[in-house]
Amino acid sequence: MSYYLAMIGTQDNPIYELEFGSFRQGNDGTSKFNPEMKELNPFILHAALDIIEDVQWETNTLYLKAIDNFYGHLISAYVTPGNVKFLLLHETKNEEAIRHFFTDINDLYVKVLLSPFYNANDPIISPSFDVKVKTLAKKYL
Amino acid sequence: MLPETNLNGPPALVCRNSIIQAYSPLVSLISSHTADELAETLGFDSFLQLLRPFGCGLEGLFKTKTPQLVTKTFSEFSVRFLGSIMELLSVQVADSDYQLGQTRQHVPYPQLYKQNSLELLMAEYIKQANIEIKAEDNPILLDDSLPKAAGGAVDIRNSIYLKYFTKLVSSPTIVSFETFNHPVAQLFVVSVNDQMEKLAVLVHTFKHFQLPKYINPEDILLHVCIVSELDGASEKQFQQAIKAELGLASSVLILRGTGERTTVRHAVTSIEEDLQDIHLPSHRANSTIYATDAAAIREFVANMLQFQLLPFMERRILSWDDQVVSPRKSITGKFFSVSKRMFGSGPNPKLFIQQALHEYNAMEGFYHHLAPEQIIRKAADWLFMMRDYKTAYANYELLKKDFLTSKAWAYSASAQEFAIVAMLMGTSYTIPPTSLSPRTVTRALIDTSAPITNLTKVCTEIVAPYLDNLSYSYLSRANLRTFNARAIVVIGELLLGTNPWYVSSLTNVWLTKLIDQNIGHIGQCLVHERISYAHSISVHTAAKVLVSVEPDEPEEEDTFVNSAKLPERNYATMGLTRDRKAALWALIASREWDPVAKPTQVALCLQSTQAVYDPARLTWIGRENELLGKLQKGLSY
Repeated sequence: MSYYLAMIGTQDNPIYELEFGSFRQGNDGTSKFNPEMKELNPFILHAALDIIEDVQWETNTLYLKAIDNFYGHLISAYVTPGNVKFLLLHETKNEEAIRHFFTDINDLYVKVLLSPFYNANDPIISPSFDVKVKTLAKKYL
Repeated sequence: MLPETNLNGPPALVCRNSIIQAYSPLVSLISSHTADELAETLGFDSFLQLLRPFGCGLEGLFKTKTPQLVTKTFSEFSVRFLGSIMELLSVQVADSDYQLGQTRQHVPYPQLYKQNSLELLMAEYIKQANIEIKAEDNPILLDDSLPKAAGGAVDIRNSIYLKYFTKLVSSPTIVSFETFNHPVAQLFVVSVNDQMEKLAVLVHTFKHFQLPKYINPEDILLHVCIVSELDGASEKQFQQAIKAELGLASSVLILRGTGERTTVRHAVTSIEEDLQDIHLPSHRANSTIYATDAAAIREFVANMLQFQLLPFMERRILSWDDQVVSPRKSITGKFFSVSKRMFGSGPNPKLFIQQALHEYNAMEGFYHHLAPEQIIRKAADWLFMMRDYKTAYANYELLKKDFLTSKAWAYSASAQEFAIVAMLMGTSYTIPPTSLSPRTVTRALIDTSAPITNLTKVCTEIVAPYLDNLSYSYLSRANLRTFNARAIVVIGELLLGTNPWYVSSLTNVWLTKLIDQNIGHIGQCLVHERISYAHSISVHTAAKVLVSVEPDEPEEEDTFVNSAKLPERNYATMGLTRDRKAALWALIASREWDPVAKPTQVALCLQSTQAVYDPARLTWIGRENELLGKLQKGLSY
């Protein structure tokens, strides 16, 4: 099972991207997107922004569940109060795990925001953030 | 952000017109040798070639009467001219795709068109289009048989899809379960110099030709056209003789063959004819004719339509309505059909033959022309041709159940297809926002806000389940994938003509399914582009209003701007458009086109994504290992 995670800033700019695979069922944590899908991934998530902007006003919750699909792949979304979007491209429906995953990433993101050296919408380049996200991915997905 | 120009496809209005034209009454034509010779002197291969361009877009006052006796008037009408039904049938039988016993479990119906031929034709057309695109920046319409958009010339890129669409709907294939290609009238063309016997032979051959059992020869109107080069008394005598000996009505067409020449539009032709045109340019149909002759032919066709064809169709529809449709609709009729279905009609040998005529012939896959189902279907199709979509829809609905119980799959799929098409043609529709200037959008909005409430209901209750059903029947039960392709493309197009915001998701689901159904490479690319177009025109009504408001005056210079605030973006239309989706599908379409094989198409597709994939705003967009970067690199070679 393969996943593609992107955190999108308020100007549709990616601030963090990660492509990873599951560690469950004997998988080794590398993504197995085929090359045709791989080169399209960012564009699919970018297109899903249209749907997020549409449905984000209809609910009070931050987690929007699976909002879009593309050839059997699902796209789940989470919108932070600061209008930063977390998007995850995945293959099977797994609402609860993804919700926990997003909530924990949001905690990490808030910690990044607290840093005086970080401006909103800047790319997150902190290696410790990267490691923590990967740990969360291993834990939940 | 609204797309400024409608680059991705023709407006729904144009597609609607080509549907009207493709499903107009069919006149089959048999001409004598002398009449063909006369046409040759005017520079045409045969009389059919001469007459054909004048069938579409006839102007005049055409009155039709519905079975409810309401008169409708149209300022233009169309008929289609084709060769004689004998020729069409023999060509179809000779076709290698149509071999009895090829597939055992399916009734072997002919396909709507040959996939390879269509693919070949589209490839040729795109080649021509690309030459035109390279030659000049100002695009013009390539094929002047295609209907023109209301705003003027459609650009070349639109015309590619429009060509594909027109070829899908205008196939001359004769099948039992659709009667659009069963001729409504048979026109005999003779010269005034011909002998009476010659005409008699033509009529005799036609009358003794063994038509398929699903076509009723009595439902074909016979008419004679006498062509002459001069005004004279001999025509009158000839007409009287025809009336006396053959009992046929006739009219005179005078072709003087002098004066100024004008150009005629190309007629809508079949795929095979188009291919022949391309490969044998010397046989290409003449495109100029004497102005006086053109006027005479136009008048003749309009008169025939107005005084012969339409009244004939009205009378037939009325009598079918009285004899078959109304009794079926009544309570006793319903009860009778249910009891027949449940208990059968008992072993009565006398009734056996008569019964066989009224039941579905599962072996060969047709209803006899006397069966009520075939008659109702024919009535529905004729009503469709006469543009009475409401009654036609009611008739298609009436048939649906009967076909299902008889397991006449192709019939049932086709009835469902045309039920949707008739319904969508009948509903008032909006013009897609992109074909209008912002100011007119607001006006269109006021005019058409009413039907939207029904639209979602209609989509979920009628269109979606019917499409599901008919697509399954066409593909898995009857093995008719070409018919399935046509159904999805036509219905999708008509849906987009209503209110794209509410229907584009349904359209896109079906178009995406169509891509996986082996419709050929070019077909796939075009459908990809179409999905992109469907997304690009799906704009919420609120966004349309906001966009139509004139922009505010620029702020004065000394206003304080807080640089710490994040810049404002498209708050007005946020979430109310699908531009990014459109761009994604355009991108996939350009990958399908392949930058090496069709660089022009790829460039055009990428051009349409420029507004969304703006490298100044989205810094990630040009990455070399991702699709857009790869395509741009591919194009730069």
